[in-house]
Amino acid sequence: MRALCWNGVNDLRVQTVADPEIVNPHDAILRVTMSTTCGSDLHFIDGYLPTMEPGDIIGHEFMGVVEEVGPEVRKIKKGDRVVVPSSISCGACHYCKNQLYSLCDNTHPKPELQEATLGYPTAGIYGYTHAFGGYAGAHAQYVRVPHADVDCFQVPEGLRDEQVIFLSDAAPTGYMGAEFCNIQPGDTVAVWGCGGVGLMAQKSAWLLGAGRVIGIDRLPERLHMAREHAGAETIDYTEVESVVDVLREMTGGRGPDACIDAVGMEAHGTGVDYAYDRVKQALRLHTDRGTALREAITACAKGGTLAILGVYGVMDKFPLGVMMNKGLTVRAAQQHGQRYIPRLLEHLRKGELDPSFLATHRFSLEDAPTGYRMFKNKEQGCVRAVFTP
Amino acid sequence: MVTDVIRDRARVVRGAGAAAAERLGAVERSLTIERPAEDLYRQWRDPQVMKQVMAHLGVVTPAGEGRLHWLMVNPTGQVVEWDTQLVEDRPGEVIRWATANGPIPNEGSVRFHAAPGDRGTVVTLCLRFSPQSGPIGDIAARLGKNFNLRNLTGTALRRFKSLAETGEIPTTHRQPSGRGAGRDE
Ligand SMILES: NC(=O)c1ccc[n+]([C@@H]2O[C@H](COP(=O)([O-])OP(=O)(O)OC[C@H]3O[C@@H](n4cnc5c(N)ncnc54)[C@H](O)[C@@H]3O)[C@@H](O)[C@H]2O)c1
Ligand SMILES: [Zn+2]
Ligand SMILES: [Zn+2]
Repeated sequence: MRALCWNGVNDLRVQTVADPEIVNPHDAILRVTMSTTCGSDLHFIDGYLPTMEPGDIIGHEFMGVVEEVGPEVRKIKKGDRVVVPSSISCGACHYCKNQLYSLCDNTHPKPELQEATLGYPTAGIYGYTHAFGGYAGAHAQYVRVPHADVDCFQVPEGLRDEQVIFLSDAAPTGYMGAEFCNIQPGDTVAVWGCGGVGLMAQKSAWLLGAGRVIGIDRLPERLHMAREHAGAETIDYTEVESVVDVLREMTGGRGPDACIDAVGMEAHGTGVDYAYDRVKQALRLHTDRGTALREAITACAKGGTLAILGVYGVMDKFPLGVMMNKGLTVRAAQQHGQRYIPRLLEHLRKGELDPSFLATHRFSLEDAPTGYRMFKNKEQGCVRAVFTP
Repeated sequence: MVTDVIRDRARVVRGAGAAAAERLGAVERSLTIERPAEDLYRQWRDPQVMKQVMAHLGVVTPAGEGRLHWLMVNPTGQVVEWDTQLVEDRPGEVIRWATANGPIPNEGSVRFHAAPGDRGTVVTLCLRFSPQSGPIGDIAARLGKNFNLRNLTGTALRRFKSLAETGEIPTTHRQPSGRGAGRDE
């Protein structure tokens, strides 16, 4: 089959590789009908997230049609049209039972790689570094989905791929961020970043009862989307002296009750250096550019909530004292898609949250490297590039 | 026995990163598994389960009543084989085995005790490749210089847990990639 492979920093190529096979009894093979880019991919395409290996198939946000199922698959069957969350979850461990699906204990094939940095391994993620399991990704014609009964969600009739694809990752991530904020009536929620994740967080904040939603970015077309599609007020951080001051004034001197970071380690796009020692199985992450996160901590109301959705390494100069003295509640996670997809399908069916506007550019899988270049450089207002094999 | 483990463990800690011989000794690690102790005990006694759980270490096959045959290929391609014999068997509590014959003095035990609340069972695995009998340098050479008992023990527990909780062990075996013939080993 054809698949998009990472071959080094900023070196993506569509290559011919073997077809995936059923390996474990709960596996399914999906014929991918659509996949999409994510800001998380940029972190390893740019070389800031270590443990990629040349030849890795990337892509973790996808949907498709079930082609084949393993002997222990009970619910999902050949021909089902499904959407799949980016992290792989068993449905049976303590974490899955508590709906903390991205913390699943049973889907990381190389747990020792993560034990070194996190203390304990998390769930595997499709096409997203060996530290997260080294699973083949979904920018391909076919993909193997372990624990198919837990991780495949049937798509109701009448919904187009563009409407459903983002339920794999961007939408549940944003929704989780809003849920983390424990929004009370009248609360103001400020969201750093108006990419796919930030925009979904803004829409979700309304659905969960926010009184006011503010989006922060510098790209005019994304700020426009925040206003038009997510009903947010916006701040262009390059146009103001201090985002913190502007937010303070906008909220009567109190600050936003909840702040969501949907930017991550490449705020301002400069280097994170890292060392990766494969032989010693040690994963080392160094300084991030944490501008947005630091700003969110300072801007947040006293006693407020900070939700971190952006991906980070091990940040230096983290303002822990500011967080502590202000009594902030901090919540963070890789998204627990399996928890949110049923709810999001319901919102989609009722017309309350339709993420299809994120799909600004459409390419065939063969042109995926162009799609990634446009997404990375934010060319022609690209918010998300979607690929069809 | 307990003091032995502690002494050996101290040696392992001191020797971390040092010569291969220092990495031998005993390692004890625990993991919580969401299943009753009786179930886990029964699964550990099943040679088919052992075969899958220890697959990262080598090939483990049943060799008659209470015996297992271990076969390992070290990084230089040399085949090392030995047999272990069950030496203690208390259903739902503990299983202990030791080398019956072969060049590798290997013993191990697995203990099961209830985790707090409804968290299942704490499973404690102790593996020892004891340098006390046989020339130590010889054993180290046979097992290979990358032999890391701590990781091997942890991995065995993780594999056992996944098998017990989900019926399979996570793997990327034979998946497609842009390497070699388009498929990983
Ligand atoms: N937690 C999860 O499960 C999860 C899932 C998906 C993505 N992510 C992470 O979320 C982050 C955003 O993802 P995305 O797909 O929306 O990425 P994206 O690259 O499309 O969007 C990031 C946005 O942040 C803006 N930005 C940069 N610096 C800023 C600053 N200082 N202040 C305000 N805005 C700034 C950029 O202009 C851009 O619009 C990434 O770090 C990604 O890795 C996390
Ligand atoms: Zn993502
Ligand atoms: Zn799980």
